[in-house]
Amino acid sequence: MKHINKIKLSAFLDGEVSDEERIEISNHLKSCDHCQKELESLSHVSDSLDLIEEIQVPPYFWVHLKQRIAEQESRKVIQSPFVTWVRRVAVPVGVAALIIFSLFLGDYMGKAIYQSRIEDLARLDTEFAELLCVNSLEDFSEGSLNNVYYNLVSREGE
Amino acid sequence: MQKIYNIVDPDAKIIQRVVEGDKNAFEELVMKYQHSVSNIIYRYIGDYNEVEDIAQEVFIKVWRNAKSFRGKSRFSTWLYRIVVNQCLSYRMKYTEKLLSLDEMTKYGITPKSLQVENDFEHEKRTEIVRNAIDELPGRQRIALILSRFEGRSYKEIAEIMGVSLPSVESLIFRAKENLRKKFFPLRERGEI
Repeated sequence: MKHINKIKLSAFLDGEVSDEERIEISNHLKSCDHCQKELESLSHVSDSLDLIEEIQVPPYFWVHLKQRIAEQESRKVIQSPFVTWVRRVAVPVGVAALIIFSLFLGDYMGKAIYQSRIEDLARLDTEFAELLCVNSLEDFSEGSLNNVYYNLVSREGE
Repeated sequence: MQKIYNIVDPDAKIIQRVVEGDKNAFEELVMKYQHSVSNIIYRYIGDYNEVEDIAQEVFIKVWRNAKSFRGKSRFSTWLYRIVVNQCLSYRMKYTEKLLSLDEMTKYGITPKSLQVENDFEHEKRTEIVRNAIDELPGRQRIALILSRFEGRSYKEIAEIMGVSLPSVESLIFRAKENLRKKFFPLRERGEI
């Protein structure tokens, strides 16, 4: 004997088969213990599900829902076109401009500091030359300054 | 005015008012479906504390997207589709946090009902069934809930879930089959 497809039997239990199928399955069940047991077993499963109780809607559901929608809508209002423009255009452009300005400022300050250092070195050279009573350190060949200094110190000793 | 509803839908007029921004109509819809929506979510998620938040998300989506509802299906089908998606995405987010009944036993965790002093047998059995449903794959669970608890026809479930009628038959049968396997040893021990 060909048994009823289990999926069909499950649908039969849920009343989800055509009239023709329902008659056919009912007739088969009368003479088939195997399918009867199968149906009974599936039926027990369905009955067990009755243990899951219904819940009541949480109290103040509508009030809370209205509040949430109102909050979300007020947030939308705050996001006016001007605020959106500021967030999407003005802020990124401002940040980019600030970065570019910082780069230029860094370059300018670097050059200024370098120039100031060059001038300081030149001034030190001049002061040192004056200290040695010469017009310029460049008047002396390399290594000769030691001799001049030695002579000056020796004279002071005399 | 263009008629956008081409099928018989008892909610057609009310949803039209919602589309026009009528909050009273929206309240009517919420009142009509809040119980059903809350129960589907509760049976799917299994946590009463999460029900209100998820149900509200569902209705907020309805309010926001009412204009995109074209009446190709009944409003209730569209609504339940939102509920299903909301449940499935919630489950995907929090699935790692959940322990199965087998894992609970393995790790020596006592199910909630068994922690309560003077526990009633009924509560214990409910907890067992509850956990067994929780362990079903998401699509099987939602198909079973819509059919068994919400009384939706297989055809409507197919529309809600966006699958064919034979798929729904198969999903519901496999759900029952899985539950049967889980219940069998418990039934043998007389626990359910």
